[in-house]
Amino acid sequence: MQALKLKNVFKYYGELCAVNDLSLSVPKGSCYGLLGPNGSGKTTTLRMIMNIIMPDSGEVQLLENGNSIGYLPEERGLYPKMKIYELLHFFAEIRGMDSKTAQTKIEYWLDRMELLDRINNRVDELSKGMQQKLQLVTTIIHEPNFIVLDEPFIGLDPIAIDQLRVMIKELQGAGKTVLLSTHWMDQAERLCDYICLINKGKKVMEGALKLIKRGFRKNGFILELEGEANFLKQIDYVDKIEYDGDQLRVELKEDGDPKEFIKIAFEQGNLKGFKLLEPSLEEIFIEKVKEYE
Amino acid sequence: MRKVWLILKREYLQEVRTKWFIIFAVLPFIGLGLLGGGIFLKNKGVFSKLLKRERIAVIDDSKILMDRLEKNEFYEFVPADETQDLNDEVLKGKISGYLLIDRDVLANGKITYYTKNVGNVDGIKRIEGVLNSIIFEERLSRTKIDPKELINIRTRINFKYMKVTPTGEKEERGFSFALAFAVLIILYMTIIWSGGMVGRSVIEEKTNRVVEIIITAIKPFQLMFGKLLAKGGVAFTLLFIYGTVAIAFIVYGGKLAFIPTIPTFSIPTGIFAYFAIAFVLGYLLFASLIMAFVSTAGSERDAHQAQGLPIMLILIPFYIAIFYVIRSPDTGVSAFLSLFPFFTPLLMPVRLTVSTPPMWQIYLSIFLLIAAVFFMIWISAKIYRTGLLMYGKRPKLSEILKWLRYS
Repeated sequence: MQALKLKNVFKYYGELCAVNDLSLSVPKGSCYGLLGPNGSGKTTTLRMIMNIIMPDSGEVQLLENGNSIGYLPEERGLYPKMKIYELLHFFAEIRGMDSKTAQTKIEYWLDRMELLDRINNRVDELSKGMQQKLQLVTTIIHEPNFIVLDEPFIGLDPIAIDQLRVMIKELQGAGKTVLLSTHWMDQAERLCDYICLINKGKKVMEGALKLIKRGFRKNGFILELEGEANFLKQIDYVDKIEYDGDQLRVELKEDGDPKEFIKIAFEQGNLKGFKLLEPSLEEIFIEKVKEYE
Repeated sequence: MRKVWLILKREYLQEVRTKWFIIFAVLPFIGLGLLGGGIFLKNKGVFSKLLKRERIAVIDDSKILMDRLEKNEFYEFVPADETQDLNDEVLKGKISGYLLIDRDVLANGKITYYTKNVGNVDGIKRIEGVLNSIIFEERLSRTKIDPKELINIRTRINFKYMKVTPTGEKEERGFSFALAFAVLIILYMTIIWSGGMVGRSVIEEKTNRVVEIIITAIKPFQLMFGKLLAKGGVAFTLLFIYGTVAIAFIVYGGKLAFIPTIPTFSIPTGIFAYFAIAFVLGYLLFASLIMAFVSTAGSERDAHQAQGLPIMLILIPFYIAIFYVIRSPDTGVSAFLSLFPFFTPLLMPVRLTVSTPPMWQIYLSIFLLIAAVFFMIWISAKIYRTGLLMYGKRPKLSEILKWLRYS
């Protein structure tokens, strides 16, 4: 089942086509990454999904609506003069949660975010990083089924990023759908099952991350050897050898037999470990964007 | 409805918890407390003990006034005789001065005061006043007139003046002019202030983007309506506090004799009811207009400019009221202007206070005002809905009109 479908969506800002014939579908229960460089139309797309702006043409179909959606906008903002407890209570109640449930949820999430001791502080008394965390809590406090996060990692320290990743995985485990936009490919790679790459408002590619990466897989390996590596140069179907720390990156010619290669490496180089040569999402991204231009 | 209530609650609480609101709300009670305390202390005679009474020597040749003089609470009158060098004591500052009371003072009223500082006219007048009343009491005590009777006799006349108009004659209320001013200024200030509150709240929510989250949960109209009611409620709370304190002051303050003659007047209930209607409807009209304009602004500075037109629409009737309507409430021009919905909230209460406009004009003004409020809220909701989520350059008027057509 699809939690969200976009069909041939266009959005113009004056002359500029911010989103150009974009179609995508987000499977229910997935973590879906909307990826692209700055200014590629990610935020515009998310704002159309959230019904904040209207597409000029095309269709946005959302399975969930109203109270079962959580949204973290790109530009963060909260009521600075409100107390944290009251703020969260307000956001929970306005999305239909009853007061009692809200109370337990607030305590749970503040505890997890290590903000419980600040429960009676005012929002503007928190540091920027803490406000970010608080904003995340406001996004999910009402237990939405469909969660839209616009650049969720910006402004978080590595520990908070880690907490957020765990949180997203948990939400997904509980059957929620997470749609996030980011230009940090390494985070997307670690989190997302599905991705959609857009550039200049146009879709470059979309699909399950595993399949996409498989499609970009190269004939070759990353090797960890204990012995000398000189023997590799003797093999005529070895195309390229690169040293990457104590690892070796070996690309084979197209007709090279990977099974035989590993056998040789095992026998002659005292092979300790190997990994298929698979490009990172970042490499795929750069390659595709360049190709596209 | 529940969501409107949640918005209302949040917006109301946020406002009444600000430092400024609390100061303004507590201020009248502090005033009342000080007044009460002052009265209490005065009744206990603390002030007269605290104030150093001026010491004045008295050579009383009549031999009849000293008793009364010594009882005086403002001055310390001490008996003296010619053998003392009173001039020297005055110059050394031991006494403020001395009095020479003529032997036949009750008949000729002759009293002379010797002092260093004859330029202190107020001080001398006060002494004269005290002596005057003492002589008066003494003279009265020698007659058979009952002092109570005398108070009745001396009661001031009840002087009324009637205004003759083509439709008959009617009473010109003495206080109506002042009351009209008060009504005008209170309405003008509350509407400007509460409208400003609404504007600030809209632009705050828009610039910090909270509105994007809120709007995914509730309809823009609910947000707008909740906000309107909340800020109006805040203004009403303050009006209520001040009104109650003012009534308490008029009813009890006068009795407690701090201010001896508080004019006892009553505001006719009809005028009072119209005042309440004018406040509620006027507020809704202007606040929703301000909301619409401010929602198109992109920043706080923009928002200030955007409030220009709505504020003009309050300023204009304010000046018309002061310079024209308050003096000529019954002319055709005044009647016409007071029926224009944007002017009604300020002009009609003024006309009602200083004059008696025909009933049909009063009802028509309310009807037109209600219609205008509904129309304004309807239009504002449309502009608000679109403006709220627009960023960047402020839209031109022509673009705003386009939104109205398409939404």
